[in-house]
Amino acid sequence: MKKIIIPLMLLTTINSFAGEKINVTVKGMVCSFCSQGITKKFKQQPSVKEVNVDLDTHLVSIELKDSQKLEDKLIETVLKDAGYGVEAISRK
Amino acid sequence: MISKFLLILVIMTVFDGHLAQAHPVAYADSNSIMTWNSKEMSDWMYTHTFTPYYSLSARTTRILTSEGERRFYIPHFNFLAKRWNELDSQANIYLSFGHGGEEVSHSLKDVSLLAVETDWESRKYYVSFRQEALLVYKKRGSNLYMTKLRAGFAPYLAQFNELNSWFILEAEKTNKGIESYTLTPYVRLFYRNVLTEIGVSQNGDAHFNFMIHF
Repeated sequence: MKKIIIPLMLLTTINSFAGEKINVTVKGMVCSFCSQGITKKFKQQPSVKEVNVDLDTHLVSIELKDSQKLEDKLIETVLKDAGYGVEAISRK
Repeated sequence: MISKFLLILVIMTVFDGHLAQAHPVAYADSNSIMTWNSKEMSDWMYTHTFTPYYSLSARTTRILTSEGERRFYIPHFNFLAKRWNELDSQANIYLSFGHGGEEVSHSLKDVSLLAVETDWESRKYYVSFRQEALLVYKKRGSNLYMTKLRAGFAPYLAQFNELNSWFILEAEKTNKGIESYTLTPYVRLFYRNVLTEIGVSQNGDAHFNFMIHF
């Protein structure tokens, strides 16, 4: 029983420290040349670990550093500075 | 025939309300270098974008006109007047104005620049329009007017970090050019923040354009 519980507890602990993942549906993101500002602007945020852009799904996926937060308002500001609009924000 | 075609395209562009041209205003706190080159024109522009709504450009332009070669040095402001962000497209209207000089006999004569640009683009299609005027102070007959229309398509949909290719047809009309009308097909390639365009106009002149954002 111990053999099952200890790895499970370890896994739970590791997951609780893993960075939050945020998916943002972005309006106007049609050109990769013009969208380079999105990754540049998000990477300037100290809480952001990784940013990926998917033009097919209009999604900007943001992975945060462990235990870090990024407010919706700041996400909207960053995208507005990059020249785009926000359709939806979802968090995992 | 060509003038009729151009007129119809200009009217369509102006009244469609969501068409436009290149991006003189990029993302906040960014820089860009753009250059357009052909036998008749060499144009270099450095732009700093302060906010997503306005930027400042330093520009030097050489134009071969029917009156000989003319050189302009014009700093100008660019404003994003309106943007439409949709899920599958973006459209913009930009306004530019500035004041600088035309090099005449080793001195600079006052010149003002006024321009309007509009564009509409999706991942597959692109249309743009630019009307530019270089107004020579107290010498109305020397004013330069340029109208540029572009339409393009992407033969495949490239992802964010892939090489993008576009085929673009550009129609240009100037009042002082060696050729009044120029039709230039371009191949546009861009990867990340670097963009190049290579084209050959109907009179065989090569065109090379380059842009970088950083």
